[in-house]
Order: sequence, then structure tokens, then C-alpha cells
Amino acid sequence: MTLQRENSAPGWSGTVVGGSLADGLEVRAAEGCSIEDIKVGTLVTINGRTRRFFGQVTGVSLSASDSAVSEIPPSSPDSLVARVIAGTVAYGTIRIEPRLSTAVGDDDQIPEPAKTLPSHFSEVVPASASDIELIFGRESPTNFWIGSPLDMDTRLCLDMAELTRRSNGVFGKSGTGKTFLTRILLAGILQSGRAINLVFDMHSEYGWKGYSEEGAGQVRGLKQLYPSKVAVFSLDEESSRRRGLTPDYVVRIGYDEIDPEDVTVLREALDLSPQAADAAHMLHRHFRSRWLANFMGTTGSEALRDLANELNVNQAALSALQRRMARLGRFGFMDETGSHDSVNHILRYLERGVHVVLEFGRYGRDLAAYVLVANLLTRRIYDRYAASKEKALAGEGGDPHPLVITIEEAHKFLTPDIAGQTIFGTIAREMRKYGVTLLVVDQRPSAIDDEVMSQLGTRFCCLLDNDRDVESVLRGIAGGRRLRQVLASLQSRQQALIFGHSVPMPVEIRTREYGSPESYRQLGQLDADELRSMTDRDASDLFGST
Amino acid sequence: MNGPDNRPVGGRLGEVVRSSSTEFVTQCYELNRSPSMGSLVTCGEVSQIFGVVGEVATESLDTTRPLVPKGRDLDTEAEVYSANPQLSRLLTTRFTSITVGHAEAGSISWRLAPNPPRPLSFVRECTDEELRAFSASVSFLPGLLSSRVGSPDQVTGAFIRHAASAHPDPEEFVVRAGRELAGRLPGQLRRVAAIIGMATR
Repeated sequence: MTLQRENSAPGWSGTVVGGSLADGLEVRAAEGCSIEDIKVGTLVTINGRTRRFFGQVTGVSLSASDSAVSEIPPSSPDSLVARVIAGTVAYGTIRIEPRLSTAVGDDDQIPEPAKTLPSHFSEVVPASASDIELIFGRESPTNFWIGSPLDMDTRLCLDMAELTRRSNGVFGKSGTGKTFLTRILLAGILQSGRAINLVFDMHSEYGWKGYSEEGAGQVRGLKQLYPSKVAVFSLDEESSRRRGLTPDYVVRIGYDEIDPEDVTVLREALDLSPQAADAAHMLHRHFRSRWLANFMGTTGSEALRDLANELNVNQAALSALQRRMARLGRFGFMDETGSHDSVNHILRYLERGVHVVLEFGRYGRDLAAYVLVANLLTRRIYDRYAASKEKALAGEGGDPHPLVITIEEAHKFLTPDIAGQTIFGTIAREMRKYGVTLLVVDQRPSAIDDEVMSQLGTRFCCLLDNDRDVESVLRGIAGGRRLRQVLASLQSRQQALIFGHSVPMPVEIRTREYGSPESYRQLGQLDADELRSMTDRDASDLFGST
Repeated sequence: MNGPDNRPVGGRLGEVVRSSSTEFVTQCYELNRSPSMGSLVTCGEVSQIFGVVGEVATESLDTTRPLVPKGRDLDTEAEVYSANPQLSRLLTTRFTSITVGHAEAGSISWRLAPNPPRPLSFVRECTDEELRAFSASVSFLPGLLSSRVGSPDQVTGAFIRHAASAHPDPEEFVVRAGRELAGRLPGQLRRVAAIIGMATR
């Protein structure tokens, strides 16, 4: 029997023949179903006697009840014998992970985690559009359409309130659509109004414009879609202007703003020894606030030796630190003469509910610059958030806007040896306590500290092919071992497996389109006529009709 | 009563001379005029019983007088019969049918009848239309395979071939019958393949 259900994946069905909660269900594909229609990752509905279950295909295999099938296979797939034994003696077996269940007939009840199994011979069919809506919710201002389930056109939505409550991660090897997916997530967070974004935009892809993953040219950034809600800050004004953008603010960093903790985070990027990094703390204690400027001003081997003796640190370590730190001075955004107010500028925008994208321009190619600025700004912003939150708890003011900080190449500064010392490690661990969470975008999750990984609420995984990365991403997830096959079967573009806190069950999606005029309109961008009419309306409201 | 061409009316082949719940033996009106193995036959007037011809035998009517060769000096078999006209009186053709279903008021059941055919019930071969209607279900095929009449696999293969010819898509029927057998004969794929082979050759 081949079924074709309305708004569901290509028709197939099966019958539950065995299984357990620990190992998932074993389902025999119905006679007449082509095993080629059954894909790993497909969401399914299992019609039990008293409960309806929802699960996911985690494996497909070819089985035979008679060893003669492999010993004397039919001469061709179209032969009579082949047609006779297909579905009877030779059949498809499907592995299904049951995830949720709901009482039969109670279609308004939110499905709850499956704590039992459907009975023998329950029918299994691909989930329908209404099933998807029941599980993931209907599109709404806070339930953001992120893509469609495998082989379906149904809109699959994410609860942005749940998503922004915890830190999250977007993973995938290079060129698999991480940026594309992140851009959509940022738009969703923005549209929902549940949190404010602060994006450390390493490759200048989120603010003004980016490039399509499919090489179809440029796509609009958040600023073009939501001009009044997004501010683009730049570390490299020249680069921003070359790309047709006048940044809202050009960020400068003073030497005085660099703390020893920033040096610790830069250890890998600057190839510093632990002794050299520790020396920064000694220097800070010695010189106080202008420690870096004073240290960099200490020139000559004799002066450096005296300083080393005074601080009781190794002179070679001190010398190495000075040489490496000199590299920072070559960054155009660094100012050794004084401090700047970049943090306050960013905070003022964030407090007004304006999302901030910090473009790194040419400095995005230098990991040291990215790590330094991201860590330095985040630490200060986090301190201010923590203070505001504590004041709010004491009844002295309102809660600050929840903040989502997007960072890229996180494996460079959330490695196990320094994650405990960086502000990002702290944010990931303390989660929402102070209303600040992370959106980690990375291609090497295995290099990220396990504790940080374990704190990521929702994980969006594009294709990963390194075993250690796959292992790392799936660690701690119920049924994670069986999701490996789903993850391995993702296409190399625009497909992702989502699992964790903000989705009731793991789901493989094809990310929604981004880049066409229609997609921009669906994301809420107004066209020229609509903008003009809105401006006229605002003018009329403000000044009265003429 | 014979028809105008001196053949039994209504395509009658003979009458039931022995019956049980699972099979019935028909004695043909004419020597060597039996339906072929695997044919579907029916008997009974009120309650119709269907059987698949499983075995055909021509033998001496008097078991104490076995037949001996008579054509040593003759050239053809036809000459043997014309030279011995008594043969049609001394010999008889009987065939055994395996009961596969019955019908009451036109409603077919693919299982054994509550009672065996009455002795001397008229037996006739089913028309193509009846064969098509009866073979709409192939759930009785395992019963054929478990019968002890004749060679069950050969009989089943012959029936499938016979019934397929009455269907608009013979190949589709063979596949359907084969799937029924494959489902009922777990671990016997070689046997199923052999039956399919007999049904198509």
C-alpha cells in the first residue's frame, strides 16, 4: 500500500514490529513502498491505539527473511521473482526514534516527551503539515519560520523566546550554510523582539550585505532589511565605505582598555607562552591602569631587564610579550594615546533596543584582532549588564533587554585551557542569569570546551564530517548516537539538524530562502512604495494632514 | 443427456464419484476428456463447490482386470482405439480436485465448504468469468500447497498459469499470487521461485 497524504512527505508507510525506548523502534516498510522514498531525518507520526507518537527516522536498512535472497538474487530488479519477493521476503526496515506523544483525539494538547512505546503493528506514516504545526507551533510574532522539514513545504517555526533564553550554537564545516542560517536566526531574534543582537561580524556578512552561499551574488544584511532597528559599527571605516556603507559608529580601542585577561585570551592567537601571558598580570599590578602603554614604552634591553627583575618574571617572557603586543599596535583601530567610549556607545544603542553589528573589515582576517575586540567589549558589556541586573533585582530600575552575542570561530577562544578565563566561557556557563547569552558560530566544535558545549541550549548543525566534531556536537543529547546518521546524511548546503532546548524534538530542516525580493518581503522589509507611504503617514501623524 | 454435438450439456465433464471435505473425485463422461491439471472446476447446484484439478488418472473400471498392451502390431495409437472399441467401456478417466472454496447465492468463500459435494454432483470446468471472480483472492493458495493430491507445487504453478490467462494483466496476477505464497512460505524462497517459474513457462 502506498500512501500519499496531503502536505506530507512522499508517501510511504510502515508497521511497528519491535523496538525499545533505549534503542528506538523497528518498523517494517509496507509492501509496495519504495525504500528509496524513506529518508533518514524524516519526521513521522506513529498511530498507536491510545496515543499518537511523533518521531524521526534515524536509520534505513534492507532486510530479508530468507538468506536465499542474497545467495540467489533475482536476475534483475524487474524480474517476476524480484517483484514477488520485494516487500514480502525482501523488505525495508526503518529505525525510528520516538520522541513525543499525545493522546489520540486530543489534537490541542501539546505533545509531551514519549515515556512509552506504540504497541505492536502500529501504523507509521510521514508527519503531516498539521502534525508539524502541532509539534513546533504555528507561525506567530515570536514563533519564527526558520525553514521546512525534509521534503515538505510546511513552515517549521522556532520559539524565539525559548531560543534566546539560553546560549546556542551553529555548527558546520566551511561552506555548509552556517552564515546563511545565522543570518536567518538573527533576523528571527530581531523580529520577535525577544532579545537584542550584538554581532561580532568577523567577515562583515551580517550588517550591510553578505554573499550568498550558492554563489548567487550579494544578499542584504540586517541593516538593509531593518534600517531603523540595526546599527552597524565598524572597526575598519575604509572597508565599510568601500562596500557602500556609512557606519553608525567607528570603534576605536585605547591601550588603557586592554586588561591582562584580554592577553590571556590572546595566548593562542599571539603564540604566547603561559609565562608571558602571566607577566601581563604582573605588569598590570605594577603599572596599574596605563600598564600596556607604560610597558610598551619600556624600550631597550636594560630597561626591560630591570623591569623583569622588579616584577620577578623571566626577562625572555617579558620580551616575548612586548614583541607580540606590538602587533596589536599595528591595528588601525588601536589608539595608544587614550581610551575611547566604544562600549558606552554600543550600550546606548542596545539600551534603545537597536541591534548592533560590529564589522571587522580587514581586521576580520586577523584572529588576534577579532579575539581581542570581541573579548574586550563583551567583558565590559557583560559587567554593565550584570550591574544593571543586580540593580533591577534590588528594585532600582528595570531589567536590561536580554542580549544575544554572536561570535564566530569560537573554537579559537573557547578551548578547554582558556574557556574558564574568558568572558565567553563565563556567559556560556552562567547562561541567562544576567540576561546575556551567546550564539556561537563555529566549524570545529570539538575544539570548544566540553563544559561550554554542554551549556548550549539549542544546536543547529549543518554538515560536519569530522568524527570528533560530530561526537562533540551530539554529546549529551538523548539518542545522540542514532542522530549521527541523520547528521551524516545532511546535504552540504542549506540543510541543518536542530536539536536541544528550543525544539520539542530533533528536526532536520531545509533553511528558508534568503536573498530574493520575496524572501526580503517575507522577512518584513518594506519596498519603496510601502516606505514612502509609511513616511507620509508618519509625517501626517506628526504634522497633521496638509 | 447429450447436446446437439453429442457432448454433455452445460460443459459437464462428469460426476462426483467420491468426495471428502478436502477433495472430490470426478468420473468423466468420456475417456481421456478430463480438464487439465490446475484447472478450476465446480460442482453442486444449490451450494457451489470449487476445486482445482490436482490429479488425473485413466484406468480400468474393473480393478481385477488390469489393462494390457494392445498395439504391438499397429502403427498409431488411434488404430489401437479403433481396433479395440470396447476400451471406452472398460476404461474410465477420473480426476481429483482439491477443494479451494465454495459459493452460496453467488458469494464466494475461499475456504472449505461445510459439507463435501454430494455424490453424482455434476462437475464442470469454470468459465473465464468464474475463474477471474474466484481468483480475485489468492488466499487459498497455501491450501493447495499443503494438499496431498498430486504434486502440490506443480498443481499450484499450473493453477496460477491457468488463472493468469483469465486476467487482463496476467503478469500482475502472477506477481500477486507469488507474493501470497512468499508471505505464507517463510524461508522457502527457492520453492516460491520454482512455482513462479512453473506458472510462467
